[in-house]
Amino acid sequence: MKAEYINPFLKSVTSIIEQTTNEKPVMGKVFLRDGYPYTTDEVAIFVGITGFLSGQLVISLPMACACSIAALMLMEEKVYELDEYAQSAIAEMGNMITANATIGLSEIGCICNITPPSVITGSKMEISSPQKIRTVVIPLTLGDSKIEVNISLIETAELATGSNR
Amino acid sequence: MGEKKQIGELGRKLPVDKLIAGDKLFDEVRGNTGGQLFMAGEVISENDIKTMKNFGVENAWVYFSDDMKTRLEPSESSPTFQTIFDDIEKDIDSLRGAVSPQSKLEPPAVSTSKTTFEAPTPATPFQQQSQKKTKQFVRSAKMKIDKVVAGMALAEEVRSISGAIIIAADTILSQDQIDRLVELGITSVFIETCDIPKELDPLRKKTVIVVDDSLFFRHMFAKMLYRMGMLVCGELKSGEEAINSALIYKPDLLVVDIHLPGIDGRDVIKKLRPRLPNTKFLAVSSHKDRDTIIESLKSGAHDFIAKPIQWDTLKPRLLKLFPADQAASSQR
Repeated sequence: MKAEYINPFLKSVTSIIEQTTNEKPVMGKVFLRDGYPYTTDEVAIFVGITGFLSGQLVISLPMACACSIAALMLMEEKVYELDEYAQSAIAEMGNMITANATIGLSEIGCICNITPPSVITGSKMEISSPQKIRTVVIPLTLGDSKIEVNISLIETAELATGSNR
Repeated sequence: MGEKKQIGELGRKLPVDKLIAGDKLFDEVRGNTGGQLFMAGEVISENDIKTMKNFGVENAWVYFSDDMKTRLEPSESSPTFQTIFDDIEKDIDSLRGAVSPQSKLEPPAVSTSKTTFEAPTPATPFQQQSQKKTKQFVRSAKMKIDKVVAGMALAEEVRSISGAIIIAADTILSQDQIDRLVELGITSVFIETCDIPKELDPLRKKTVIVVDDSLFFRHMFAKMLYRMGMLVCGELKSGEEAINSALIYKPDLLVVDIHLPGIDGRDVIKKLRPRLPNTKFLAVSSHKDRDTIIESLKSGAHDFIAKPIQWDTLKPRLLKLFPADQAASSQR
């Protein structure tokens, strides 16, 4: 995966999270995942990417953090559970992060579309990819919560030929 | 009902038939901690209770005003009153937390025992920040349109708020407006009690329809716009609904997401702009690339705002769309 594909996400992730929560997340060292499957935290936001690039963005975060973000976004005093409104809020955050990143991708000639976001909750959720698309992880710290943004991308033409590197 | 009273932040939900009304209770809240009764006539009158019952309303939110709290300070004659008040306050906090925005649509059961409430977990610094920043917005609720009571002469404020229940002042929604909304198939409205800054007077009571396929954005827009004094008469999720509703309701402002399923936002604006000359069109989108903005404005939008939309961004843009010198004019 080319670094230039990741740069728009780096910019978008910090900027959107800061705008939605009014708190700037601290970015850790970006790394490449060893392989599949990998495990997410209690809440995972999925947004698919299609077009010149194929893949997905998975934001993994603890339930308490998801609730806090949802509360800020919904302007509620506190959100105790991820109900329909709270799910919609954090899904929208994933949508905005990905949509914003695709603008950056289009500036380097990679025209992409995104799918509607999904929110999945559970414990020890394992993510697999039959195509073994490489995953770059952006670790973030927001308050005392750890958030991981997993970006799995491959050029669509490359995917068609069966190559994933 | 007498003079307008300040409604404080503290409140709880009670069965309507447990509310006590009457002039004799004007000066104090007579309550107990079991949630069985308390409320003074200055907040809700006997007539209001009858009206609510006629509408099938079973529960209502009641609020303490700050001056009531002052009056409830312990005195020699009632040394335990403050303790009672503290208990009520704790229950209220727990109750408020137990009622999610969604569950507000249906009245949750009112517990008569405070022991059933879960103790809130200590907030992290991030959560504390969240609570602090959002505290001003807590008095709000989405309500089913057929439960909104109009014509009760409740002056400037919405008196009580709850999920499936309740009450709006006729200054917020007239019966005629409600009837029209019901005809349009609009099933709920957002009602909020808040202090609207003077600078937002030009926006006061301007009607708005919000069109976005994202539940979150519809919800947030409604909240923000209400807080600015505007009347959100519709939250719609498709272009087709937007066109039908806007042509009938003729809102002062149509907020429309550019990327909608079916007829997209640009087509909605193109179709409506020539037919609604007095309506302002505000395009919004998560995509803030140059092409999206230009295409939105070319389609006829008066302005474009990129998501996420924040209060400080939205306010000046709306004030630009509705300048003070045109505040008095209305298309209806």
